[in-house]
Amino acid sequence: MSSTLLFVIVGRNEPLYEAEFHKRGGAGASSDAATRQNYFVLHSALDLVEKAAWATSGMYLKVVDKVNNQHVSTFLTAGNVKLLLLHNGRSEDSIRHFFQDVYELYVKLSMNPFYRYDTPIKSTDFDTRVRAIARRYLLQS
Amino acid sequence: MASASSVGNVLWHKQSKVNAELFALTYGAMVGELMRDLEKTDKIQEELDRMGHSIGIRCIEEFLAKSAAEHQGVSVGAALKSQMFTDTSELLKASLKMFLGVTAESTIKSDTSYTITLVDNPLTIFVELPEDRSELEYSQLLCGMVRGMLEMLQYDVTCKMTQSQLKGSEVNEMLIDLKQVLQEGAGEDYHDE
Repeated sequence: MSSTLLFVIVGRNEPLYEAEFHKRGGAGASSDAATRQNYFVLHSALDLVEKAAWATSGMYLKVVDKVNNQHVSTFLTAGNVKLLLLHNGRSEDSIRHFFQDVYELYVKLSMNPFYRYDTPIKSTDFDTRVRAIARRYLLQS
Repeated sequence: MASASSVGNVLWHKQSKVNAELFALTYGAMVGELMRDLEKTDKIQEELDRMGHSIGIRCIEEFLAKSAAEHQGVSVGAALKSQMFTDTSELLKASLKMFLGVTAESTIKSDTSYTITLVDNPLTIFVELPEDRSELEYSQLLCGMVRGMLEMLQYDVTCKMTQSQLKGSEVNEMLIDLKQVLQEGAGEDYHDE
């Protein structure tokens, strides 16, 4: 299970986008219970995100919570949208690059006149690109 | 004899410009509003076509005035005087360059139809069509504009997008088909009895 990374984009009231990334050749898809636990950890970290947001003026908030072996890193966008990543101790650098690239993607998406702010992200193109970014930065063994 | 592309280029450089992102976002906001108001895809397209038409009938005046000033209207005037409908493709390419800054190619299909191909479309720079609107022709305004411009030159045409980058094609292509050549000038009131 620690080879699974969970990435969630959270808007004002609800998650807007979710993606799980598995290391290739790893232990297949994680079980239901582990997935639920992962989501729980991420959502409980949301309060801590708010707290950490006041501590720094940048957008990248690094690790805001640590549960067992799982870390939650956050990137807070200018529009108060939270990009959350659940991981098991990747390097700060690769996580920061990941967040920056996804943030760029998010900005381009929000320029689309058909996308309304704070609505779930359904674009398959966005999904494909996020996964490609994850492969590039997070899943190199 | 000045070519269409050089006329277009010179006029483009003289035009005052607006930020491309602002332009694209404004058009996008307008399409968004139309979607909220009209909901049905074909009504939205009709409305975009109508808007394009009223833009086109004004643009053609400006284009002809400015290009006549530039080059004593040499190649452009030829398009007006010439009997060949297909010469208007040159005029369209020059005006697309002047107003939108896009370089277009044309392919003559027959005496009464030709296609205009655009590689980049400034209206669609951030756009991705949502799945439930995959039928919408986002750039329909351009088609209406072409129709309006040619109508002022006494050509009644149909113009539609046959290829669109938003729908997966490599380029954007408009097909212009001549329906009829309109009678010169005056309306019914002035016809001899």
